[in-house]
Amino acid sequence: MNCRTCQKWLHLYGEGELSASQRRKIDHHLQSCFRCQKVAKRIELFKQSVASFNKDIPEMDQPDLLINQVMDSIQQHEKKSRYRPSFDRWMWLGRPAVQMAMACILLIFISSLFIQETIILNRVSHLEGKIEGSVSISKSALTQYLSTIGELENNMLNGDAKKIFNQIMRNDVQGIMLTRYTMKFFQLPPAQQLKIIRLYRNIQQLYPIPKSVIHSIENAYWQNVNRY
Amino acid sequence: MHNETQKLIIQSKKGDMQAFRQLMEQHQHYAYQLAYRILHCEEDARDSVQEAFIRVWQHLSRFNLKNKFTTWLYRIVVNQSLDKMRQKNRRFEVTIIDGNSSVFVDPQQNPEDCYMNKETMDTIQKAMNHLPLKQRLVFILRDLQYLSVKEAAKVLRCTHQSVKSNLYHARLNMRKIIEKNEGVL
Repeated sequence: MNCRTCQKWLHLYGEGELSASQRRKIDHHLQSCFRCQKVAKRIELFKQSVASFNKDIPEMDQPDLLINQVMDSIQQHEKKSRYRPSFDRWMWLGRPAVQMAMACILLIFISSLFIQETIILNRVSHLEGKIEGSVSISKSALTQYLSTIGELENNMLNGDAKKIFNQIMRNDVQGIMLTRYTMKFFQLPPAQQLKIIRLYRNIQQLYPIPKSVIHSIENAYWQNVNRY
Repeated sequence: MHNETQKLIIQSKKGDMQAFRQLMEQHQHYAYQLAYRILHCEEDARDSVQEAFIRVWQHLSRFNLKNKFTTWLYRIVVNQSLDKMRQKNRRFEVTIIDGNSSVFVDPQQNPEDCYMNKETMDTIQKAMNHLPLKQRLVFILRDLQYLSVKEAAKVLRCTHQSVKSNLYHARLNMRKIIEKNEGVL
């Protein structure tokens, strides 16, 4: 150990300031270094002076008066604000930073809803366009479907149609789109239903649709065909 | 934490003002000492302690019983004292200490009187006032209030290493200032 380190460490003489090994090194160094011994002596005198200095502190004048003043202030504050300590736990909600954070979270949440809805609508309208463009479904049939879709959703509550509906609903955006077209599907004549099945297979190349959905639609189709 | 103190805190949290009074009686001496060391003015120290206790009452419900009450109280007292200092725009005097008084008297020669005279106290106080704020706070908490390094770090919201570093510089600077002014050692 050199003198510089020793003299630095000598200043950290209190408990928890130096490790046992550091203390041992200091002791070892002091045995052989007269200059550091002198510094150690000065530091010891300084410690004693500080200890004496700490005793020299004026006693508080009228300590009871201070406590009474505090109690009076608290009571006045209580009367003014009807303050209850148990309600204090909610006071953090009133902080500007917290309010700002809550506003930001709310904004992000609402924005995400809009964004998600926009994505779904875009994709559905895109697929609607695909179907309209590639299948010979008459405009009037499509318009009729769109106008009656609300009713259809309520009527799809029995038999295989319900199963298909639930199965499709468990899927993602394509599933939602298919739900609407599945409902339309049952309103069309069998020849057009077959065209749509072929169309779904084409769309699947662009947008992966679970095979189970396709199979459900096919099954429903063949059951539906028997009715005609 | 002492069981008695803990009971008083729990009762105070429920709104028991008598319990809070007892809590204040237990801690006001140390709180005052700390404020006085920072402000070096009895009146200001008294005001700071008073405001600190009011804040303690107002925010007592936030206090976690797992933590040490004195550490929390000290932090509030330190903050109140610093606010007080800023309010008054207090500037600690840059003192020219005359070289007549001797701080470090050889204890071998004068064992009765050494370190206990008024001039010594003044010199140390003035040397302390020369320190940068952080060093002064660390010195007060560690060497005058006898807090551990860990507790001092919690009060000042800094790392242990920062406390040790500031403590080293505080002690070194104070010793240098005193030695320079006294021309002894």
